Amino acid sequence: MHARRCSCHPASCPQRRYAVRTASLAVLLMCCQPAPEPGPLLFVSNEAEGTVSVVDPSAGVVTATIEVGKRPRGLGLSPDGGVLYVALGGENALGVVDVATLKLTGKLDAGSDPEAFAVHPVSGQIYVSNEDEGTATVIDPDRGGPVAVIPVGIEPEGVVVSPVGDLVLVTAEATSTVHVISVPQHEEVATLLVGARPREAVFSADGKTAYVTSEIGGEVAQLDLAAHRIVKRVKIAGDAVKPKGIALLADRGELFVTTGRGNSVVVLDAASLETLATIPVGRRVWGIGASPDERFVYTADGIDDAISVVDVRARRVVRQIPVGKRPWGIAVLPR
Amino acid sequence: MLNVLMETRTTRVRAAGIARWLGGLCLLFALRAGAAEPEATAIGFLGDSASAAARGAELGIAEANVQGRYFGRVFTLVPVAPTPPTRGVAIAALDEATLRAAQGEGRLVINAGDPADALRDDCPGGLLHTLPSARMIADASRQAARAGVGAAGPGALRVEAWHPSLERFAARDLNNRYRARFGEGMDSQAWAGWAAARAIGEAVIRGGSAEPAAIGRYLRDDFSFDGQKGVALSFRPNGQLRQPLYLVAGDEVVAEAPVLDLVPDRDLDTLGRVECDPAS
Repeated sequence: MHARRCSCHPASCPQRRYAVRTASLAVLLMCCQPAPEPGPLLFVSNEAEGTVSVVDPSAGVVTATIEVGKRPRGLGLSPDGGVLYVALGGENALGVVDVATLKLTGKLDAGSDPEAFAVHPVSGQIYVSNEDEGTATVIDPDRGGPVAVIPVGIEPEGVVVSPVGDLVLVTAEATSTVHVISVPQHEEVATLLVGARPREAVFSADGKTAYVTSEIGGEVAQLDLAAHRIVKRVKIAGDAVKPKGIALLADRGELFVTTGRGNSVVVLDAASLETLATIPVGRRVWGIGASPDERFVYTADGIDDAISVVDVRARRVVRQIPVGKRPWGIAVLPR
Repeated sequence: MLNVLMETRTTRVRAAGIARWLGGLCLLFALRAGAAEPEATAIGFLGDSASAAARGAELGIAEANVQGRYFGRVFTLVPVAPTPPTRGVAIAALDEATLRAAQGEGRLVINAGDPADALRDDCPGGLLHTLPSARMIADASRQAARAGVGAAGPGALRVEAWHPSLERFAARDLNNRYRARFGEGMDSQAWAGWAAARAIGEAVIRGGSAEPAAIGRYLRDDFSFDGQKGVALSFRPNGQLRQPLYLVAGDEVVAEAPVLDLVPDRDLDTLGRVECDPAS
C-alpha cells in the first residue's frame, strides 16, 4: 500500500466521508496525515444466514454484518454507490441497504425467487432474472417495483448490463441461450446458443464483447455484440471443471473464472481464452469480484464460510477472511 | 391420445424480437433463404402414450420448443406404431422384443423403456438409451453395499435414474416443471423420456439437421448435455447414456452413484459397460 499525499484541504481528504463536516482542526490534522490506500470495500451475501458481511479486504476483517432477509444471493450497487441491493430469494424481494449507514432501509418487489440481477450504470434500473418463470423483470427503484417483464429462455440466471448502457445480457440455463436485450427498448435483439448451462457473463469496458461461462459445458464463450455472434467457445482444461462466476481484468486482459467444487479460479487470456493459470482457492467457489486497481480478486468460498483474497500478479491466495454462512456473491465498492 | 401442449407466448416483446431476428441477424445457425416459418420436426413416440416416459417426452418437447423458437425449429411428438419400422427419429417406451422389432432402415430410436443389457451389448444400429441398463443398476447397488450405504437388509435400496425429491443442480427446477404440468412427481421413466426429447432437440438445433442418421451421429460424437444431474451426460459407444444414478430407501434419496467414497473421481463409466459386446 502506498501512502497517499494529502493536500490538507478537507475537500480532498479521503477521510472526509467519515469526518464531521466542519472546518475543525481535528479534521485538518486527520487530513494531513498520509493516508494508506484504503482499497475497496466488499459486500458478501451469506445465503444461509440472511446477512451481508461488510469486509475490508486489506485489513482482512469483517467490519459490519447487516441483517437483510431470507436467502440473500445476488448483490449490486446503485450508480452512485450509495445503495446496495441484495436479492432475497426467500422473500421475492430486493433488499435496499443504505451504504453510508449500513442499514436495510426497505425492500423492492422483485418477482419470483430472485437470485441474480444487475443495475444499469446510468438509469439505476435493476434487471432481475426470474428462474422459474422464464423471464427477466425490470425494476425501477424510484417507482418502487417492476416496470417491464421480458420473456427469455428456461431457467434464466445470469444478468449483466453493458458499461456503455445499451444492452443487457440474460443467460438461460436450461435452453443454453444468451439473450441480448436492448436498453431502453427492452426488446430482444439477438439470441446466441452457447455451451450447456450458461451461468454468468461479463462485458468488456467498451461494451462490444462479452464472456459467458457454461457450467455443464465446462467452457467460456466470447461474444461479439456488434455482429451478434459467438467468436469462440473454449473448454477449460481440468477434471470436473464447472465454470460459474467470471470477472474481467481489462487492463491485464485476463478473465478470472470460479469453478464451484473445482475449488479454484482459472485465469484465461481474454483474447484467446487460453488458460494461463489455475489458482486453488477455498471450497465451492462461486461469487467473484476484483479490486478496481486489478491487484486483487476476491472469491466467495461457500463451504468454507469465507472469502479468499487472491494476489493477481502472484496468482495465489494471500489471505482467507471468515464471513457468514454459505457466502454466495460479492459486490465491490471502490473507495 | 398424446396431447402436446405447445406454449405460444405471443407477447408483443417476443413477437418483436422474433421479427427482428427473422430480419436476418447473423446467428449461430443460418436461416434458409426466404423461409419465415420454423422448420418442423416430428418425433415419434413408440409405446403407451399414457406412460410416464410419454409424459417426460412431452415436457422435453415443450422445452425443446422454447429453445427452438429462437433458432427456427419446432418439434412435435406424434404417436407412431412400433412396427413396421418407419423412417424418422423416435422415443420408445417398449419391451425389449418390440423394441428390437421396431429397428429399421432410416430410423433412430431412443429407448426410455427397457433396461435389458442385451440391447446395449448387441448394439443394433440406430438405437440409443437414456434409461439406465440393468448392469448399471447392479453396479450401483454393488458400490452402495461395499461403501456401506443405506438401509438395512438386501433389497432395501432401489437404484433410480431420477427422483421427485431431487433438488441439487437444477433438479428442483425440472421437478417443479414436471409437477406443474402433470400434478405428480417425476420418476425415472419420465426423466428418461424427457432426456431423450431434450437430446434430440439439442442435436437438431446444434447439429443443424433433423435427419435420423445425422442426429445419431451428432449424439454419438463429442456431444454432451445437461440432464440436470450436475454433470455433463453423453452417449457411450454402445449407445447408453452415461449418468449418475440415485440410491433410494423408501421415499428418500440416500446416496448417489458412482459412490464418492469408492470412486473419488466419480467416473461414470464405473456403472455399466461402455463398448458393444455382441458375444456376451
